[in-house]
Amino acid sequence: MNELERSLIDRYINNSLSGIELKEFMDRLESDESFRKSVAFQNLIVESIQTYEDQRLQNGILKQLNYKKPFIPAGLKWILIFLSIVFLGIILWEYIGVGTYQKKGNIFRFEMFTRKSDTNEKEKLEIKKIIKQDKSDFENVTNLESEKVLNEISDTTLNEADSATVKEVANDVNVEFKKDQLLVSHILKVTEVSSEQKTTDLTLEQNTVTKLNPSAGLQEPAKNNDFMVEFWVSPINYKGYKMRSNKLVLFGIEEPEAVKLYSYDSKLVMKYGLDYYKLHPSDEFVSFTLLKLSEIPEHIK
Amino acid sequence: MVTRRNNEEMVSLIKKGDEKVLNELTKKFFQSSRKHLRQKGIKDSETPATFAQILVNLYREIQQSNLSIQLDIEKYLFASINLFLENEKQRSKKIASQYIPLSTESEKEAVAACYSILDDNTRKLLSRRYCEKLSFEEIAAMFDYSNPVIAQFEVNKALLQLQKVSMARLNVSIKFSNE
Repeated sequence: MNELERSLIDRYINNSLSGIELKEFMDRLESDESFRKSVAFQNLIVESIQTYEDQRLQNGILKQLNYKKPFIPAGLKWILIFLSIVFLGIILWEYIGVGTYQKKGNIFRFEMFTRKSDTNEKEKLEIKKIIKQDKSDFENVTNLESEKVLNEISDTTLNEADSATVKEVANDVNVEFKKDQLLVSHILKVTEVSSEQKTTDLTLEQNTVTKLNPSAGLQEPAKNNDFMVEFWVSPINYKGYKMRSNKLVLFGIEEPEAVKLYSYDSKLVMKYGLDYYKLHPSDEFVSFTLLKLSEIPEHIK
Repeated sequence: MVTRRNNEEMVSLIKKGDEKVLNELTKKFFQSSRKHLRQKGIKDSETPATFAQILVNLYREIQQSNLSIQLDIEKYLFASINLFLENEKQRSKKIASQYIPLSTESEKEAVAACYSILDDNTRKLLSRRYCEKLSFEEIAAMFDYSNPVIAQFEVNKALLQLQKVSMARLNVSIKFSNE
């Protein structure tokens, strides 16, 4: 390749050949294998120079940009920012908003981060323990009104636990605060039981009265032996009674049909099943007093 | 007015081959170009390389073509980006002949490696001639040669040097008459 050829190729590469010169060049390119090789080689040289220089400039620009691939992709970054803002908003709302933890005075307890169910379960267990203990205590105490006791239990429970939690516990299936329930109420006739001697005494008494005041002609008013008996069930299985005038309130009697009342020597005796109980008039609730076999009159037996 | 003057100055400097203009252009247009490239579906991590490529193409186009000195670089850059993305622009339209075998990337890399080991002055000379497409008159003026013939002689000498190194590297034999 001489100078002329190199110059010609150079001009061809620079697109400065035209007309006859270009036609002659193309004809030679088509026919001359070595010439074609020379042109291809010079073209490669020029292209390589251009590539190298362009690459150098691009590297300079990239160096200036100092671009580093971010650790977190842009999309994920925006999502994280959004979530952070939402999270901060929730925290601010919880502590500054109306009806928040701040109002409750629990700002530093981070209650929002504790699982509500866990705390509730713990509180429920504590309350259950208290109730169990109270129940056992209550069973030992015989001279207490069931209503009062219940109130006390609920009061102590309320004092020890949050009222809201108590409500939840009360709603719970396992632990419920039940009230006394009236099973049935009906009038029960008292069967008078008296010895013959007694009967005689009574006749004598009546005769005397008649004789002493014959003009009066007044009859002794017949004793009303009917009792209004109310059968109640206590949630704490309290067993006892309260009796005033002709009203009898019974607790712990599961079969009202099995109850019979007997009057014996102005004393009231209740038969329940095979057991006999002595009943005294009382404004307060008292537990049943079981009669011994020897104390039971023969007529009742 | 300030923007236009800056544009004019930058175009003028590009035509003179001042590479520092690229830094200014990068500072000025990278963020907006990046946004534009992202909107066009280019991955964020690929935007710097794409921008650099487009900017160098723009730089070469301004150098090699007779564009007006009042060219709005910003508009031209975004037009170049669109063209680049649509693959309507071809990087090299200079040589297109069915008779010339296409050179492979490995060959280009090998010759580029040979080019990189040349001295600075030789590389500058070849770059001015084949990248910036300067005429021998312009090269003579730039390199303080007495006349264009001397400039042509110096360019040919540099090219011959590169050809020899490259032939040795590629194991190609072409006979040169002046050897």
